[in-house]
Amino acid sequence: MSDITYKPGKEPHPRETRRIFRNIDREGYDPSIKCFMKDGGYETLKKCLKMEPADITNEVKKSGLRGRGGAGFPTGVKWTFIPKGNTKPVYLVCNCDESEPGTFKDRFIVHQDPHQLIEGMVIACYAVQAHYAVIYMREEFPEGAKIMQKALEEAEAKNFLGKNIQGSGFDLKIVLHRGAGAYICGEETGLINSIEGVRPYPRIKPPFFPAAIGLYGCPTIVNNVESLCQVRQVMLMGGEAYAAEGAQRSPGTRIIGVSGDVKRPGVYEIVSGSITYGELLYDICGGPRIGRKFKAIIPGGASAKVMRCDEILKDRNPDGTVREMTIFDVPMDLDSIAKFGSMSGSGGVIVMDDTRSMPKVLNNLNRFFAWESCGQCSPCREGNPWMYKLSTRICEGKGSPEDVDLLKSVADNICGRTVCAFGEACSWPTQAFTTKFREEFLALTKPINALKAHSAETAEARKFLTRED
Amino acid sequence: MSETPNAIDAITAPVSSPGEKFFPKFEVTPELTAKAQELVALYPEGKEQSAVLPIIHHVQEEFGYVSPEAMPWIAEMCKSTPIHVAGIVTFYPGIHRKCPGKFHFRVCRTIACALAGGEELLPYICSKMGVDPAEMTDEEPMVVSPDGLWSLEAVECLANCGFGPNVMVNDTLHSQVTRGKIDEIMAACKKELAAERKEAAAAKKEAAAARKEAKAAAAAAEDTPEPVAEEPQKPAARKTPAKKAAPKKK
Repeated sequence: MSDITYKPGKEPHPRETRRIFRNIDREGYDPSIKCFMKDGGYETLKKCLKMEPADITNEVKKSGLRGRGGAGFPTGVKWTFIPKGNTKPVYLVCNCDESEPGTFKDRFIVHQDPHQLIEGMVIACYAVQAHYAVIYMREEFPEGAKIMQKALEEAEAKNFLGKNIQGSGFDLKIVLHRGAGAYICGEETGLINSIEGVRPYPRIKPPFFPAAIGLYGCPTIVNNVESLCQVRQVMLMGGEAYAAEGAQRSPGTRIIGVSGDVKRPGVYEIVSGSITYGELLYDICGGPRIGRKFKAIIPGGASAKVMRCDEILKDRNPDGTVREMTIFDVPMDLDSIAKFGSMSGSGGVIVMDDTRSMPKVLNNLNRFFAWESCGQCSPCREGNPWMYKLSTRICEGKGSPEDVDLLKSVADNICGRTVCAFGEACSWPTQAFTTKFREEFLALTKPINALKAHSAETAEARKFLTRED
Repeated sequence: MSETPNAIDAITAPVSSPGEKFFPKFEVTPELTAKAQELVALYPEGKEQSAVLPIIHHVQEEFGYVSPEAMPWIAEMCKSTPIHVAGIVTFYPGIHRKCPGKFHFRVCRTIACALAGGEELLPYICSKMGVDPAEMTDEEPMVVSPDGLWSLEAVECLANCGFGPNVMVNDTLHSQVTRGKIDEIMAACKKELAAERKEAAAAKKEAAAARKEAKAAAAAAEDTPEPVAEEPQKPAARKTPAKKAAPKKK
């Protein structure tokens, strides 16, 4: 590692462990295949092509690698869900839709090191015996799409893609498919519908588990960009060595994107569980801006529940005693934060300091979810604009205290009542903000507002109820 | 009843925009069809419908937006129906039904960029472009300046949250944008336009010269029937024949 130099000002922090991000912002590195191969690229693939596909799956299972898209499902286990005795073609889809606000890790891989992803994909395709794969890239990466397309052509010219890859008899075609700016396409079944060329409404599970009934009705494996790069890393290091590092239940490295009110926002690759949120925010990111204090943290992308920085969290020690801590003492792995009611998701940490108004932050999130709801299920389609309307009303000072409870009740009635996880994603922020920062919401409301009409229509309808004498 | 348009007609009704003058009008050419067939061939046999988004992207790149005339053609290319294509076009926020300006600004206003001050940039950009911020609604988030040069759209997350506020101009992402940086970007755009115009003018001149040369050559060869046959086809284009006739001869 010591022979690598990074661009000035872009050096990794000493507490980082660069594996997936090894070549990001590296001096003299470009996305060409020449650069990648000079660095030992595609050697892992050559090694893997000599192995049995089932052995690769076993190795990935042994490594304990968990998906990095947000749900954290074990990657190797997902691969084994393809029905036994399947005769249909198997497809592999790389989810590069990265649309969770606060997450911006895939952008760097696609723009600066695309061959790493291609190598990971070919290994994964070989393991599940898929001969057709799709990279679903979000529309907001037009330059990334060009780089990726060029990388695919280069890889094909060197026979790392196409027919009879490196003489192994394995064929693979990878197609780059661009989305068109819809958040819902990050949901795996919505993404599949988008590739099929229909409106990307998520499908109901069961029966539409992609591994059984996916793209074109065939078994399909959908993996995140970072997960596929980690697959390459697993095969490079060996499953057991990979599993030995980091948190026991979520080994390996994780890429954390920090945004919001810190001195040094950015992307950092750390060993899972090796540091706490406090160490991340104070040591790596340089702490809050001068004269400010941290107030709240959204630990895993916009849809994760917000955490108060002054909240006392209670955890049980192994000997049964209760230990008190704050969010800053929680280790950064996939599970620890889940104990306290939030989630680590896709690793997008959004930080807010004491100058921020929480109702305004929630209003911004509600607008995002109202805009991005696909409109398939009524609770979400109608509930999100309603929540947006309510939070806007509160922010404008036209809300009544009851509106805060109504806001929470709308959220409570969305989650769990929709086809896909968007229902949870959109209601968790509202539930968490209104519960944890209730006093801020109430401070903006006035009881008299409950009696006032909020629209011209209501005023019209109420005019007969008003005494005119 | 017949006088009021139905919902589908209303959705696919053409929306005029000043940006149209910077883009060619939708026209089916052999090259366009060949490109569409190439895109369809990427997908497994019998799954032509999958190519609907790539074809839409290509149409949007060439013509700026997806016009109502383009939808039936797209449907034909991917063996689908026009109403299905309309369904796709109306779903995605990244597909324009109205022509954007020559320089399309997309300003992120989602949480991380908003914390960094993305929303405060919107009114400033509006005033620089000469558009009314009130025109930007949830139904039609894009506004085009009267001269068709600029368009502005408030979008959700551009996936570069750590380095907000982010603004995307056509295909290029600008991060940590400030008011000063907006001025710089707009000046660069104007420079680009001037260079493009200069190039176009030079090309026009060259074409005129080429035509003159060709005419002289034709006169020398005394090969008269060709120009005679060509002339009646374009009676209206007589005023500026140099530009239009020259490429044909190549």
